[in-house]
Amino acid sequence: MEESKKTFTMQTGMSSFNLDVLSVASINSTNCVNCGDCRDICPVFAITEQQRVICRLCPTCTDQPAMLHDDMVALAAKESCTSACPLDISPQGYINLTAAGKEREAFLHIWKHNPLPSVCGRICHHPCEQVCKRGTLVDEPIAIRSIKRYLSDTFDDYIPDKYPVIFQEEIAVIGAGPAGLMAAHNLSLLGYRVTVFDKEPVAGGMLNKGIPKFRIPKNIIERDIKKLEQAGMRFRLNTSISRRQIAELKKNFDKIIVAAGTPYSKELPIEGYKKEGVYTALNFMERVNNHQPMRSYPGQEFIDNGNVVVIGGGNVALDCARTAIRLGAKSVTAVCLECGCEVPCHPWEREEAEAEGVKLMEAWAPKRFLGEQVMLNGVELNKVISFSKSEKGEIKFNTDAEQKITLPADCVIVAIGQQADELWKDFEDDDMFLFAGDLSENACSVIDAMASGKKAAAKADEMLQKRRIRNIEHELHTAPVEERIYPATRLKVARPATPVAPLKERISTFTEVEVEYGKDIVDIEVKRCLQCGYSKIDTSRCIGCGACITVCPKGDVISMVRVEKGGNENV
Amino acid sequence: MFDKRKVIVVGAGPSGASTAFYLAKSGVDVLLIDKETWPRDKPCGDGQTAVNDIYKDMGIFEEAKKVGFALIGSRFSGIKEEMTTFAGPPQKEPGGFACPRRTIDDIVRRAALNAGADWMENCEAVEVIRERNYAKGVRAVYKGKMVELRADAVVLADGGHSTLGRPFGFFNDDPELVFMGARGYFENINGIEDGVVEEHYPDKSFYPGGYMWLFPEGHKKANVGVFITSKNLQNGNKRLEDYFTWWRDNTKIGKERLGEAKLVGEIKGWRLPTSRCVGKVHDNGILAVGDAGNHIQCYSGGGFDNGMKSGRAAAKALAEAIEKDDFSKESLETYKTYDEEENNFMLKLCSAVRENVCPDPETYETFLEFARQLPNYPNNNQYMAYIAFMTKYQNIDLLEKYGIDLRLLAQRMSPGH
Repeated sequence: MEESKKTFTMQTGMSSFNLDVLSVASINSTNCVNCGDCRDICPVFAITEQQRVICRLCPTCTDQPAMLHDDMVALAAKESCTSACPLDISPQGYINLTAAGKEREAFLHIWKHNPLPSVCGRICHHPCEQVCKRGTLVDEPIAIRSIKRYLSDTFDDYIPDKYPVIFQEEIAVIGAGPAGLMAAHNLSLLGYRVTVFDKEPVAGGMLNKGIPKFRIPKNIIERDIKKLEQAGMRFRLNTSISRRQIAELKKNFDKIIVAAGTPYSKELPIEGYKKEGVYTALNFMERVNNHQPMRSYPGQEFIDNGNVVVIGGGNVALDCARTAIRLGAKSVTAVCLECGCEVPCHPWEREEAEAEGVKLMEAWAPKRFLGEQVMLNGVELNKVISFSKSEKGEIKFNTDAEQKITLPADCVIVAIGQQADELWKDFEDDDMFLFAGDLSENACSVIDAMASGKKAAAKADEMLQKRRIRNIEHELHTAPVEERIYPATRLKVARPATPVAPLKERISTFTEVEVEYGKDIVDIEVKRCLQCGYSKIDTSRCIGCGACITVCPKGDVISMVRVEKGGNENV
Repeated sequence: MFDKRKVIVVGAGPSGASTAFYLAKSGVDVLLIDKETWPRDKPCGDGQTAVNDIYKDMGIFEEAKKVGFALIGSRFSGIKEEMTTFAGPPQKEPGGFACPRRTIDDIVRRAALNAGADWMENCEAVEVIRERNYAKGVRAVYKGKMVELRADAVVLADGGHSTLGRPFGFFNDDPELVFMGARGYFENINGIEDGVVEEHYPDKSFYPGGYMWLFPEGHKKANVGVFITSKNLQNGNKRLEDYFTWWRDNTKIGKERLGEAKLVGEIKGWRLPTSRCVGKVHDNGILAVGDAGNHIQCYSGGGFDNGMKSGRAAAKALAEAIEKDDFSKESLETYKTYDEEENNFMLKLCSAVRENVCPDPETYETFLEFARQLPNYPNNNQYMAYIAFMTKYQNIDLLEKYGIDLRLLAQRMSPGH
């Protein structure tokens, strides 16, 4: 029998050539868990992500309001957990791999995209859960972050494979924070030799310095870093890079990724800001982490049974406030300019802080610090009457001098933002340097910082290998009508509440607030996934290389089918 | 390249920071480390005199002027409690500043960082690495982890308690020259004038060397302290912190000053190793600056300016040593030379004052009597009176006996104090 052939024309930069395609891949949409590994590896971008429509046409079918067909289609392709994740991890993928009993593959999927799974399992602000369609259309979103945490805790002793060494180019990453580690991890996975420099004695950057222990214990950060070391990432700690070392770096490395972050807290230069007891947020956390006294007079630890005022309403401010409570402060008040929904902290962080006894005062601006000599005993506040924030983040506000109150304060922690080292400004136009993390954009969360590290890594690879990078933008397509999901066929299962440590224990010690899900809860939780997405192969573009089959973690999804004459598939 | 620095400076107080500042300014790869999280407080040295030149040299004068309280004169009393005032002459700038160390030290440190020095805080050096008799860096506990920091030269600026310098013989424990001091911040003090420093010698144990002081920091508020040689402290019957209550309860001036005053915070003490002249301050690959090199004046207890100037001298000597690539003791001998140029005049003068002006209460009373009758010199400060008393009244040849060249006076003395 004569082989039937399909020809495929591939456009490259200079010329085109033809391939004879004997067979093409086919994806079984029922078994596909939409992990996206095949999409990443496909050399011809033939695989796309499809989002099933959750049907809400008939009013009787569900207790939620009905929707028009067009609205449903628009919603399906608008966003999903896979597109919401800044790191392009597929929550649907690892949740359903877990459900299929492939926990190890699920963890590996996370680890490949995210060098800090245990950290993100605890403090990621989970944009994926906010767009989870189960949450919008059925009952409550899946507890994605908790599942990730469960997986990372289950595989905490996993020893990863060594990074491949493919390229000769050496890359330096400055800063071992989330952005730097992400960039280093991605470049290492691509096959570069990467060295990470950091000033601190331990890697982790702001995870160590800025986030208190009760949100991520130090051993959790160490655990993730250890895996990176085992995989062969080189760290040069205790090494600060200043102008003098940069010339050397430029000589020894082919590309330098600067993820040095914003290591300095901003000061609030109002009257009396030099008094004893006025600390910036980072200075405060530094002292707490290193068990150093807050005030130099012996026996006068300000915080023990003292009044603490935190200036700022962001997550850092609330972290400081919650730390002060744990150190035994009598009262902790956070003061912020904003009010209502403009308060910049995450709502769940505010809830937890208020439960622990932090009082948040909205729309007040500090006027001056009061006290005798160098000692502090109060803060004078003025009421904010108008507040605006430009897109660049510049804040403008007016206060009413008539409305003022004085808060007693033994300690003030100023948490009004951080700033970067001036040094890097001079290298912004230099081709050798790529910037990630807080230096490249206003990345206010760990996951955003990591996403920028990922972008910098892709850019470095593109520049060094002179190749066009993959389209990082995540594309979603609405699935055909036969792939629809009917919520009426789903049982309503309440999301298990996030287990938290008892309040009394929380406010007196630095133990972790959130507790891990047990296996039984996870088993129920993973089954709640609606499986909105699946991968689909555009057979007209497939060249039949079979790469997707080799990477599929599930095994029963992709198969090769012979191509009939005229392009018809032979099933 | 990242394993080794050119110079490591241990301690980021004014001496260490000024060393790092001048080194960084001349383009040397310098790492400044400190065991504390900054800004930090320190008990001694709230009164900074004779610092105008070096502040201006470092470009921090304006900033220091903004945060400090200007000192314009001084006032003394002896055992008879009669007040002698040396009011500063009308002048363009103050003779010094009274400023909490937390603030002023941070300004000096920042100047060093801005000049390009590298910085590690929370990094406590525990040992100097010695190889073939050369200092080659330090072992330090950096945020709880042991690290080895290597360098061609080490500058010790680890203060009066300097432990790292002991093996090199920089440590001074002569009980006559080591002072113990204590200070507290008081408010609602009666009888003091803004900008006028007060020094009182009401007890026998204050001779020779030592006094109660008041540095005014704001209206009716002052940093009040006492310092005394450890020999006199051991021989006396009072603990250091008891001097405050003793002074309040037993003397007229003390009662006026502290009778209604309120202590803010706590009283804190420290150790001040002084010296009569620049002593042993260097060895192979290592220099000691500031208090670690005993740069405190043995009569006045002042040392802020001496420390900063010794830092400047150390940086100059090190820059030359780096050019020669020779860090031996002989090569670093230049540090001692520069340091003597900067500091020996004041150290020796204070030593002479200690021996001739206040060896006992009676001589000091005679001096105060003498000083009250002096005409108003254009530069009428207490040092002028000391010199006049020693040369005119006691007929001492300072050049022959102490090696003090009075011709340097005009250049060396900053006006006002």
